[in-house]
Amino acid sequence: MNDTALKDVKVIDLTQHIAGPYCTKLLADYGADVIKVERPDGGDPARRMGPFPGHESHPEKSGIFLYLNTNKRGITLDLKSDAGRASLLELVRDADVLAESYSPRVMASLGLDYQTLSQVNPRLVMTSVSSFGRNGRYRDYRASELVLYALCGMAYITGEYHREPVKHGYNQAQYLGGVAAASGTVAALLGLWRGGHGQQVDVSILECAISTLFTTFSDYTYAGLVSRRQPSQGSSLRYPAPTKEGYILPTPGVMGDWATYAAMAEVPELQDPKFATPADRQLHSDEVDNLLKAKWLEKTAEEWFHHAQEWRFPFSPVNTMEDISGSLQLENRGYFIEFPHPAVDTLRYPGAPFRMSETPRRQAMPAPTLGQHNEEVFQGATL
Amino acid sequence: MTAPLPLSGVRIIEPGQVWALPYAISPLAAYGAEVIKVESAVRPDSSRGSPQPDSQVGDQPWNNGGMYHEANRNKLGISLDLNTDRGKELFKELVSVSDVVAQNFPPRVMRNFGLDYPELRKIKPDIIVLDSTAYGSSGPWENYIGYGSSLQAVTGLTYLTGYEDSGPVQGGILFNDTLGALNATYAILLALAHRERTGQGQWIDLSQYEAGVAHLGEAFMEYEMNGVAPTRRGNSHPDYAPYGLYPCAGDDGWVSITVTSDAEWANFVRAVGGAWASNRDWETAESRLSQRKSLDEAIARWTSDKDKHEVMHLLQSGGVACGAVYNTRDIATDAHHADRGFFEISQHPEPVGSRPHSAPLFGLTGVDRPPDRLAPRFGEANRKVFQELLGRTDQEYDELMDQQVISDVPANLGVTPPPDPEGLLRMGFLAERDLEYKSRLGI
Repeated sequence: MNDTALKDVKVIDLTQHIAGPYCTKLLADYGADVIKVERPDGGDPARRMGPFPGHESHPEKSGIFLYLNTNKRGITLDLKSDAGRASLLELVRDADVLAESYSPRVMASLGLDYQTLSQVNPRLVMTSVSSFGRNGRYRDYRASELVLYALCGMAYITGEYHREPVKHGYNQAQYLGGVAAASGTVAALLGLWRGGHGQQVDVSILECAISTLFTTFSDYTYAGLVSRRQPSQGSSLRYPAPTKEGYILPTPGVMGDWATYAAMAEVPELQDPKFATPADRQLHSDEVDNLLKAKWLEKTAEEWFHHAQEWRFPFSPVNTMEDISGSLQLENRGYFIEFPHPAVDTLRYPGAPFRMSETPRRQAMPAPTLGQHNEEVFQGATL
Repeated sequence: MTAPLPLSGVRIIEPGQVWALPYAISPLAAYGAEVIKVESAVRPDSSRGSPQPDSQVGDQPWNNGGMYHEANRNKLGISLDLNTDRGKELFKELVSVSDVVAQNFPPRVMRNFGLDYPELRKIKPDIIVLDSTAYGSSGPWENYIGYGSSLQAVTGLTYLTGYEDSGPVQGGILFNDTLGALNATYAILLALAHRERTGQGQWIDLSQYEAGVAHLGEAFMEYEMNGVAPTRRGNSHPDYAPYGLYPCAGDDGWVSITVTSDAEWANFVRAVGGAWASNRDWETAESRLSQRKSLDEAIARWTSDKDKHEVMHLLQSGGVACGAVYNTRDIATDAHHADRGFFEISQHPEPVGSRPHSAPLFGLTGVDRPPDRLAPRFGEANRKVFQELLGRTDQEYDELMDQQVISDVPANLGVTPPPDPEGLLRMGFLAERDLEYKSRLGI
């Protein structure tokens, strides 16, 4: 009885690196027929990005590529050649979506801008995800994850007070851009199915990263307050703290009052009236920090997590990937999926980002090897 | 010719709180869905009051919060006490004429109200229900609570953020709320796509824990492939140098410079000029990686007396990926965002006045998005929804008011006086209090 949400939606996927492929992975995992088009000489640069088994680079064994390209078919085309371009236009003719993640000038320079493509297929949805968006004065600027983290304002407020700003780990901005591009694609398809026409979807990864700032952003636009990396006073309530084993994030949340928090933390000294209000605790932040930091060392992060949750405080353990791999909650919900791939055999992968009761994420195919489906796709196109 | 808004005619009921859910629904409202935000007098959206304009608590402060305005534009707002039987009945009546219910209370809340998916489906068989929760609607942690900060830690992101020589670092405040929101938007659109073609509704169980881990796929794969949990590496990159932040002139000024190919390195030395242009020491990727430290020091010497914006535009003009470390003032006043119309100014009633808000994160270039309507004042659409849509008479409406099933004023104002900005500044929590911010923003 289960179906897929994007059944029969055909996507020509020119994306590479992270944001674009994550967008088309989200489309493919929920049922779209995604044909990933790679350049014949080496393919998607993500094939050369780690992690690799045994840290040995191999174009069919990149962990990030294998993760980001599930459920896609893969072909190779040289878009700089006339033949390659003609084949692409042939594919676009009966596609629903073309997704691309080049710098905005590239598609035009290949003679493949939206104007041209929409003449071949007026019902086409063209999804363009780029670092800065398809217009504006930084349109052609270059970016990397770190550059985007600098410009989005998140780095400036992250890190220790006296040290340099620091970015989030891995590629958070790219993933957010990918999800927004997937949303834009499906919104455009919905519009089409409900009587509209084809159009171009424009996603700026930078804007997606900026959206994570609120309320910090409104603090400026409503009150002129410019936030920064925070001093350490009062950090025992806001920041990861070492425990007997692992770190805990001891968030007080908004549910309980201070006396309850002190009781939960088993630090009766904190019930002293001199700590009663947030202002009082700020004034005596050294004492609060010393009492709590010593206390956290008495139990493991795992123990504090369950203990505090029983008191309805939203503590959480600062998990490593090893912790996540062994998480009972994720295990219980069957989050991880496991399947073989010709180059790396069976591995576990993160599964669905959300569960849909009638159109669940499917696992039909591992990521394609370079040009794996050339014969199948091109024969299909000429028939 | 422009197309109709893709979500016109879709009605979404949103019993949503704070950010992870309201922000998920905001692009759907912008693109034509009729969104009815459901609050109650006892439990108004707790984001309503923050931040207050100019840190002053004015009249009706629950209608004046900037964060609330940002996430709730283009919605209708009603109040409805779901603890009452009549409140539950009205909610069900609303569901019977709606397409989507999206909410972010912990799983037990809607179950206890008898308003979870199995119940709502009886009223409207093709309803789409999205439950956005911290840990999902099943499993040993299903009743555990979590906020954006908690989720950042539990998903592995906190552990992977920070300097190579110190402990894990939390980034921002609401990061994982936005992450959850973007995933929720996509999930609802998928469900609408399926319903459009098959007529079938469904239930979406969104665990923000699971969505967050999905955004760390390659870190998980690293552990799966090699059995070693990855750790923090500051701003550096394992494969490239230079790749980092460098100090600039001025207070807390920094610039990011990332070189990911030999060609880009050639661009860099050409753009910097002087002695750099003839320096052959760092021509290859291997030499740059192995001499990362001395290379970083040399670049820092070059950047340290220059303005961060100047370095950015100089290097970008020469073909090098480079970006100043922006604070919120830099972002709000940046010309590129103005070029794209990313921030649009809305005119609120006093004491809020004109304020910029951001456009949806996906631009549909073939439709004309109408100008934003302001986020609803508390209970603003009560009459419209209960009388025009559900057909209650004046007398019935007044009764509902008298019985406090609906209300125009929250019982708990939910607004604590904002901290004194000068105090925050003195203690180091703020970089700056910009008294000229309105003129800078053109508001």
